[in-house]
Amino acid sequence: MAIIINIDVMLATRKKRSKELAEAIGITEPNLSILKTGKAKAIRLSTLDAICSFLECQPGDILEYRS
Amino acid sequence: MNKIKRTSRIFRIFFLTLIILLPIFSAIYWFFDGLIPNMFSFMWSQGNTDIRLPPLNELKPHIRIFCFLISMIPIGVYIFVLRYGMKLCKLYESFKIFTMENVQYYKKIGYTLLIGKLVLYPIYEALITLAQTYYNTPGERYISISLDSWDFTVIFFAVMFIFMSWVMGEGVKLEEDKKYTV
Repeated sequence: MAIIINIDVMLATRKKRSKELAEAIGITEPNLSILKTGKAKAIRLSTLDAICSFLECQPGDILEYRS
Repeated sequence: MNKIKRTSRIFRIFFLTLIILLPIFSAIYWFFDGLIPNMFSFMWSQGNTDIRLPPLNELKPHIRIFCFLISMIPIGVYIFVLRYGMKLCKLYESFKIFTMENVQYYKKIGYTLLIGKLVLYPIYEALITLAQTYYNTPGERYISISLDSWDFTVIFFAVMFIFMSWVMGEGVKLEEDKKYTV
């Protein structure tokens, strides 16, 4: 898929851990892993909202389109 | 879960037994006529019974061999179906009940039955009637192709299998979408 998830980059920038993010946004670590590895087929707006809120960023910082 | 595993194993062994027994029953039917009751021979029967076929005990040995070989056409179809059934049971044994692999096997069973009944069975019937009436007097040799209620039943079940596999496939896709929505 041409949509790249940059959560790892944002986590490194904000010096936060995956576990903390999973706990903060209320999803399990395996689900977060699905998202990070690009296996996810869809992302809920509520999940995106929680991620942006926790990482203090914009959706565009997390999602990137590469042709 | 153990119940699924145990039942699937029993069915897998049953299907394997049938795969081994079907050609043996057919051989007994053609070479030792009368030893196999008619209920076992519905898959490779002598063909259209409306035409005058010589009794089995009047067939020459090489014709019996030909008939046995020709009967492997419908038996082959059922062996393929049973093989797919075994693979399905194997999946159930490892608790893979609702996957794309299952869908593929359901689809294969449906298409094998359909092609077997619509394409291979008419070829079989034509060949089996020709082989049995080959030594009849001129004008008494036949090539027969027929459709009876049993054929329609098999075609109906084949279409049902294909339809079910399609519905199941769509269900699996929906389930995957749900599983991979974060």
